[in-house]
Amino acid sequence: MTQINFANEIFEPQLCGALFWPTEKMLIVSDLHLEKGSSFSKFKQFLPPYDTSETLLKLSKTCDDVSPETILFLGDVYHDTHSLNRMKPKDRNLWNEILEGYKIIWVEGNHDPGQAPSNIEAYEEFTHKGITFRHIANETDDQPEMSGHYHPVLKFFHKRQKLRRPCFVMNESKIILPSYGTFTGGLDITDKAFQNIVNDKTQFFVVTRKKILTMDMNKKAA
Amino acid sequence: MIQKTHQKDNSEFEANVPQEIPDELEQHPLTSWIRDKGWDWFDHQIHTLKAAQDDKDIVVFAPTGAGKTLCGFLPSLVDLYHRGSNKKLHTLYISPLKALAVDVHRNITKPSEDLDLDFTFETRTGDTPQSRRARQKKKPPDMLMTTPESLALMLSYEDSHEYFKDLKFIIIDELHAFLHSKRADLLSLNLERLNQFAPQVQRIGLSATICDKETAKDWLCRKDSSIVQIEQKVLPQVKILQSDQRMPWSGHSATYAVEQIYEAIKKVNLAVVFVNTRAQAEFMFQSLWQLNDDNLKIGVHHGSLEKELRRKVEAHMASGELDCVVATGSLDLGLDWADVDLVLQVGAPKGVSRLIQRIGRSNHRLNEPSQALLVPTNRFEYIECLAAIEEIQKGHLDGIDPKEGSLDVLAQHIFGVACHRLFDAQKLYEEVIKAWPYKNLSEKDFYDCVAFVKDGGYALKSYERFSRLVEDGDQDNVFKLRDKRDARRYRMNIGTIVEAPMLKVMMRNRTLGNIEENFINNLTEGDTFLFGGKVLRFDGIHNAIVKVSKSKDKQAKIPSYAGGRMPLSTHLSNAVRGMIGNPNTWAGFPEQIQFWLKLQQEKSSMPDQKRLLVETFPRDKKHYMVAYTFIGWNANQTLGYLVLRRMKRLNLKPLGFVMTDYALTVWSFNPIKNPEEIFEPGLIYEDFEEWIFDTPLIKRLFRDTAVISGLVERRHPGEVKTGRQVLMSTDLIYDVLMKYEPEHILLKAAYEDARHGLIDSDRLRDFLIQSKENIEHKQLDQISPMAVPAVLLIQRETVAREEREDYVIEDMEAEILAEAGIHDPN
Repeated sequence: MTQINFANEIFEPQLCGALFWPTEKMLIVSDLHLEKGSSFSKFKQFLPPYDTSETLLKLSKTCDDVSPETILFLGDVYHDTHSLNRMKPKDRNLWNEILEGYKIIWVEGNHDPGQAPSNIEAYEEFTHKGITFRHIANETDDQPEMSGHYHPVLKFFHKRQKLRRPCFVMNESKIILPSYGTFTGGLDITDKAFQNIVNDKTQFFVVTRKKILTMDMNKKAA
Repeated sequence: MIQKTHQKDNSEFEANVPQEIPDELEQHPLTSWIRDKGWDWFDHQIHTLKAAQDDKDIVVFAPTGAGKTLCGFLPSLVDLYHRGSNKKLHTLYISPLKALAVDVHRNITKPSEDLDLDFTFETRTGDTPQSRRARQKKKPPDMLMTTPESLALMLSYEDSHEYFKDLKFIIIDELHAFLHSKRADLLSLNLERLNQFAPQVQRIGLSATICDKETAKDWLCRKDSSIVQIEQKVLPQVKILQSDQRMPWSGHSATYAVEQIYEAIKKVNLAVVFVNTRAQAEFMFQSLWQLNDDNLKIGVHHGSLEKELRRKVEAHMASGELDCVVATGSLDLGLDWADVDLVLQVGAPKGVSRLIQRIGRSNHRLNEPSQALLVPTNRFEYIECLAAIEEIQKGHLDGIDPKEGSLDVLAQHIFGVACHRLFDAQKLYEEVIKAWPYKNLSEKDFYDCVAFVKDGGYALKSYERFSRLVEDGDQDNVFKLRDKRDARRYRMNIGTIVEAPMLKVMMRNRTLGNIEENFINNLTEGDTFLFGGKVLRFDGIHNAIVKVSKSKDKQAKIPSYAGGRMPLSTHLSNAVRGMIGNPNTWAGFPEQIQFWLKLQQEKSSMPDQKRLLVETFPRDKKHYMVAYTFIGWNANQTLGYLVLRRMKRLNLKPLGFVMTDYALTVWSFNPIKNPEEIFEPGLIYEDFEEWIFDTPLIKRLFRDTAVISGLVERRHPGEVKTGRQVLMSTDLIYDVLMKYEPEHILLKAAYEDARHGLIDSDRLRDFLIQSKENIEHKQLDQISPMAVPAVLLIQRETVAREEREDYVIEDMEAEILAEAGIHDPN
């Protein structure tokens, strides 16, 4: 099992794209973008309306695997402010089970302002054990921070095949989580958006089907 | 056009017994016009006219440049003259290429102006300015020259039935170039539309000579029909470039022959050098320039160059300013650009008909045969060139293989029909199955497509309130657009050609063309690549635009080429097999080819038309199998995947495979002892179904299907993204559909496309059945001469990208030959 040492704590990146904090029994997930598929229907583009089922099943399975006490949502749980209305009854049931089954920490994202369930407090920032959790990284903050938003992916060659996979991005004071949702695309870590975050010392924890690969800027296994 | 026709075929005419000329033609001013020039009408032209006057549909088959265009237009010209223009659209000319429509327009201008004929004719393509389109809509010309896509667009307008109702003739040019593609599906469906609006309309198809004329006729013709064949009197003179240089065993660069190619183009006024891929075009263009001490004017023409650059090259060709053009298929189809003296084909022709088509570019002299020179790039291609020449001399041409209608094109069409006005679904079904490609379409598939257009067609009805189609009042099964503004969405997405995602290439403020995103993704800043004949430096991507600057480097990476792989025709591959398998034919081959074939015969065996030769040999602690299948790249690729699966099951520990048009090569940890076990026909039944939904190939096809059907919108190069656009990978959509709705119509569409296209399963099945009990297994101690290219291909795939230059390949070839104990004296 790959472990990440960050801010004097140990984290375990999961193959599903979540980050587990064993000492706190906390599962951290970012950018679920629930009902992204159906969001296009108002533009009359009818994508298969099954991405929410897929994402929630994945989350529920991860919870079964690592048995967290707390789930921390790092923003953009819903793709838009009407996502919950569009959710199918079956998916909604599963979603409620998850929300009720664990202690929830809800950090708001740019896609879902004001959408936290009524009994759950929504944070813009949440700090725990010296780590600040916010949806979008604050480049001027050099204190330990975890965020999402950018959906980082890394392109690399592996066994002669060109792969493009979601990854956790980590530098001295920041971790950016990959997106968790089924229909979420990704932004290459060479994109301008990452220019103030990615540096020579940045490490990438790349999610592949079978294991987490640790890589550095030269895309060499570290 | 008329002038050329008559000059060219004059001798043919005199030899014929003259047909009686119908009065209507006799009275037409064109008749005295051509007689003043000392010519007269041809039999085939009169045949065509008479058949049209008998209310028949017609297909005219002719060699390139034989004047079939006039043949097609003659019935229309005569009818228009006698009836007079009634300010309604009378004739529709449809060509696969915009440029061809423009060209035909130009050719009609001359006689029409000379004779002051009283009718109007215009072009209408994607390039036609909005103002002219609007005018055409209000005041239709008598004749309109257009493309299948523009026709689809016009049919989607609300008043299109009025617009087309007096249509008398539809002329479809270059029919043979359509029939295997999705564009043919689109065209076929729209021809049926036109029949609804104008039941009197007659169809006239123009085609290059092909071997299966009846199929082409069945595809096109609805009425009582007639075939007109124009014979070719003078056979083209096709030779293979004879080089004293060593011809490589593998590779596709033709480096060995560049000097001689240069010498050949120097001797003539205008030469066209055809190559098979854009990468080859760039490479050849640059190689020729490096030799160009005589300051020849050499241009390059391929599909991803900016339109203006291409038009410039075409104009320079026509005005005689160029000495040579290096071109791909973008210059292929029946354009009469200029007087081309010599056509060179670099690389294997891959099909007899396409070769003839290309060679046809050079026969614009009185009674002189076309001149062509073939330049094989390796020894296998030499045989293929020879076989092609032999088939041309025998007059054997490739068949055509019209495809079954694709469901994604049908979905696009249904949307288009709804844009026109409300439609009764059952009546539309009956109309659609009259189109040849859809004659076997089931009602269920049709209604699934309607449901897909309506709201995605998912088992869940959650999308209903946004549906694109609604039932009209209380009429059952009659649908209309919910919101007429959606027609715009349809019009933006018309068409069946989905390019690999492309990015715009710009140097400062100048657009140079488009390039595959996949290729650019592999570059880092400072890398150089060849594009438009220049070595460019990659400076980065900004806002989806590739920024480049000039580079002084001579060496550059060559652009990859994603699409456009031409399949080796079955007909030609049989001819190649026949030649290789019959040593009596070898005597005339150059020494180095004979050496290669004899060595193969001595060290192993020769594949022939009946047997499948399978060689196995150990190499570098692994075991290799080379199967000489001759079934083309696509079918070999499919076979490769299936064989790999089976080998895994047999615990042979396969490691990988590579393929060419001719052979499949597999390597593994354990040796294959019994090839019969591997190539047993059950492969295509048992393993196929299991495999196909799992392959990356089908995801690639699904991407096209998603765009054509309108599931996701077309991305135009350089377009800035908006929140409305679906930008996620269609692979994600595919996976979800497979899991939650495996019966969905789009999966079926992609599956059917796979079976007929990329996967080529029909050809594969025939091959496996034929090979049963006909396998010759050679267990060798080391690599055989014919296997050298295959093994080299593996090496080439495994070396680092920057080392894939040709000289490295040559070294590797030498190494492998030495390893096999082969001393190549050449």
